[in-house]
Amino acid sequence: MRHPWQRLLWLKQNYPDNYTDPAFLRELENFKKNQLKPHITSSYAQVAFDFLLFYHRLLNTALTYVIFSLFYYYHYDPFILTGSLTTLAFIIASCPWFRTIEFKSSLIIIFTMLTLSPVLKSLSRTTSSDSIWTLSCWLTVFYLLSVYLQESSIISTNLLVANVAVLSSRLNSTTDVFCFVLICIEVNILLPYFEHNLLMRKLYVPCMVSFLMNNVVIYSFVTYSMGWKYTTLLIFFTVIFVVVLPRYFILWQRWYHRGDELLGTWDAKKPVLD
Amino acid sequence: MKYIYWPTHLSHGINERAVVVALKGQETDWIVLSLIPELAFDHIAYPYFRIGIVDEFGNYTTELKGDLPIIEFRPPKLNMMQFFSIEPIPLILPEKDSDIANLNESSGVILSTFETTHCTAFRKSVSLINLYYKHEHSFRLQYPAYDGFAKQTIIKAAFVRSKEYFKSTLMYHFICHSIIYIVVSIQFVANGISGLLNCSIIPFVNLSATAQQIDLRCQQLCYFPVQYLRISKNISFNKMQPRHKIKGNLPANHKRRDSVSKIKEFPCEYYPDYIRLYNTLWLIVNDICFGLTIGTLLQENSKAIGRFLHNILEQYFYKLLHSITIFLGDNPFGIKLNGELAKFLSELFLWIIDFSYHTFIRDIISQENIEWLIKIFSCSSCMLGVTFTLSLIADMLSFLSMHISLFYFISAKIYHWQLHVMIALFHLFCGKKKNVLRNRIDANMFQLDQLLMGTLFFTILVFLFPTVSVFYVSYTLLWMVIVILEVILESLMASLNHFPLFALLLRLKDPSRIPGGVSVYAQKSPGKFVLNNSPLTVRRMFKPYIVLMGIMADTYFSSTTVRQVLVGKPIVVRRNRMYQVLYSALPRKPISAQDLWDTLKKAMA
Repeated sequence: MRHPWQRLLWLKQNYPDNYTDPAFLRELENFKKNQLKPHITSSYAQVAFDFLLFYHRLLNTALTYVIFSLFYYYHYDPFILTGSLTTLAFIIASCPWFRTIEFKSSLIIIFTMLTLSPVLKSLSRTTSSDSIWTLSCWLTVFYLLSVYLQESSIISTNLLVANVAVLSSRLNSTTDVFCFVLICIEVNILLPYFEHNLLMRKLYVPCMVSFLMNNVVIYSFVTYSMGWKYTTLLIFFTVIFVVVLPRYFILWQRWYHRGDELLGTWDAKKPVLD
Repeated sequence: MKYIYWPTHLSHGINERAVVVALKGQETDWIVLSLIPELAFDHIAYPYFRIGIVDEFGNYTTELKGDLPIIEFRPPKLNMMQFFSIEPIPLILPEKDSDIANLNESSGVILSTFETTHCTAFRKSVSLINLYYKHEHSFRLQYPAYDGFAKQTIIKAAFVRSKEYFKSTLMYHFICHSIIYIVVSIQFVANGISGLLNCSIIPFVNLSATAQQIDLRCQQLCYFPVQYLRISKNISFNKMQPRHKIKGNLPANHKRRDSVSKIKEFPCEYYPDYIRLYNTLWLIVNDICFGLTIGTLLQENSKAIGRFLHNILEQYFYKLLHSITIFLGDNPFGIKLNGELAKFLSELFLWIIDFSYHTFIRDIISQENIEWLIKIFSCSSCMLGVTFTLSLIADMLSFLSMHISLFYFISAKIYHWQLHVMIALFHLFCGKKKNVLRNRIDANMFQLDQLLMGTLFFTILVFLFPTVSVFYVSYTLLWMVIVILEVILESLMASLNHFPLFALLLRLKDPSRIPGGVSVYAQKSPGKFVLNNSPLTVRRMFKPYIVLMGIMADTYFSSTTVRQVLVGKPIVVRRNRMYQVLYSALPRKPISAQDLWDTLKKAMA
């Protein structure tokens, strides 16, 4: 009675080198049969909802640039916007159900930013604007990638803050810098956290409100600054992203997706280091 | 396997049949002592043996069992200080040899110890060969019938008697005592100065080249009496202070009380000491000769040199530095630095430049003061040797370039600190943290405020980094120029202080006096060999230098140095660690005055 064959190279087994296990052939047969059938897919609603969430995150990121251009090009007075948003944030944060950050650490953040905003303002004075825009663009791309790929929010938060710091070094006054950084943190860090909390509690109405507000702000800003043509184009792409792309995804999943593992136990194994 | 050692002078000029008389110790081979005409030969006793007969054509017929190979050799003349040595004789002190070997990791040491344990017979034979003439002499004394001369002993006895008479006079005692007092007091003072310079609170030797030079001279002064006593065959002293590890380096014949060696002590043990002592003395004289020449040159051209130095020093230490610092503060090479930080750093350094210039540099490098300094240099050069002047110049240079090294250390500190913080914050940026306990990078969850502050600081530091590094790089280059100058000066000093001049000249004059091993060659006729003395190689004489060059290259031009410069860790030159290799002809701790006093007293008695 021979020992059953094991798929382990380091064992000395009583089998020839070119031995093929019958189980492998059996599974290969099954696999070929299954390949021809359509796969079970996720529900359309779920996929569309995920796309919507990512779209929302995109809009949030775009808000950074909206606020930046408000301060940088249109010399908008930062006090009203910052004041109202910060008050709102404080009201939400002091609400016992949504305790996102502690009072102490928010104070620390605010005072750090107050101290650092003059330094930030003069940080890139001698650097040309083009390089700052390029840097900011890349940071945004990496930020979106990290939001898409990463479970933990640490790297995405850091990339966002770095982007904000780089952008803020272009602004004209210390007040602008401080307000810009504060608003960006509220919009991009506190707001997603808050919405995430709401979604976990299945409170969809406030989420919808914030989503609509977001859309309104972005579209009105695009219309205001660039005109109707761009708004139409943007709406067109949005519809494609939110409605058409999920359909396409489902189609792909049904007919072309092969799963992570082809043959289960017969796949090439990747070594697990560390 | 036994051999017969045959001195070359016994192989020619034979015109009658003769008996070959050889000497043999307990484990040694036969060493042919004399050829006695067969008719005159009567008998001989242990340790002398009759081993064969030579006919009138010089053909040897053995009377021993087996046909033993013959090795010819030229007996070393002891009064000319020639000898054979299996290992190269040490030009450095044997106890320091291990230090250098450790630094150099040479494998030769291991090999020679291997040989010592296995070739005892050969070693003992070589010891006998070294004392060949003494053994021959004692053989003649024992059997005067074979050779009828004892003339020179009468002259020798007369000489000994007159020497003893002179030793008993009062005058001699007075001179001896006063010399002892002078020697001990000089030694005491030198020892004190050396101890003061090496004291652990402020190691002056580490700080200044002059202190190091004074320390070297003091240690040499302390060691002279010891060396002198050792080479003047003062046996009581040698017994009192046994030298370590001597057995690996010389045939330790004198320790064996073999029945063969009724002859006194083995003198060639102390020949390396002789070479070392005279090398040092010669170098000092040489140094002073150079010093006289250079001192005169300096004295004669003090005006021109003064003017030249004034211009150069003012240019380099003030004007050039000033313009470079201003240039760095104002977008150098079109690189857009952070304006505020660059301005701050530039003004800080400008302030230091102005301060140091107005407090001491301007006064020191003024024309009159430089001429005055040159006069001091020339005087010290004439009196104390050129190395002292070189060390003074090196110290002067490091004093004048104090602000440059200050800039270097400040900018290196800032640079290093910034780099360190940036690396830590970059870990935070990636959501990681250094685990000090396990010395690795672990993932860590951070609070929001930590993330915000860390990233803000990180961004700021990244933007400020080019500014700091530009300052760091330029001041490092400036400092390197000074350091290279100092290294050149100190290498010059080292070569003047420790050049193996005496050994090199000995090698030219009489290579048998510095043996670096033996070699055996086969001759045309079978079973005949020649034992030759191969002199010490030049490479071995310069071994401390080679080691020093290695250390220097390691300190200044190695990948570790480049890495240190990149990381911003200041390169510290530990002068005494670096040059301790060259102190290899001096003991680690000078002899105490009390010991020297006791020894000298004993030597007198």
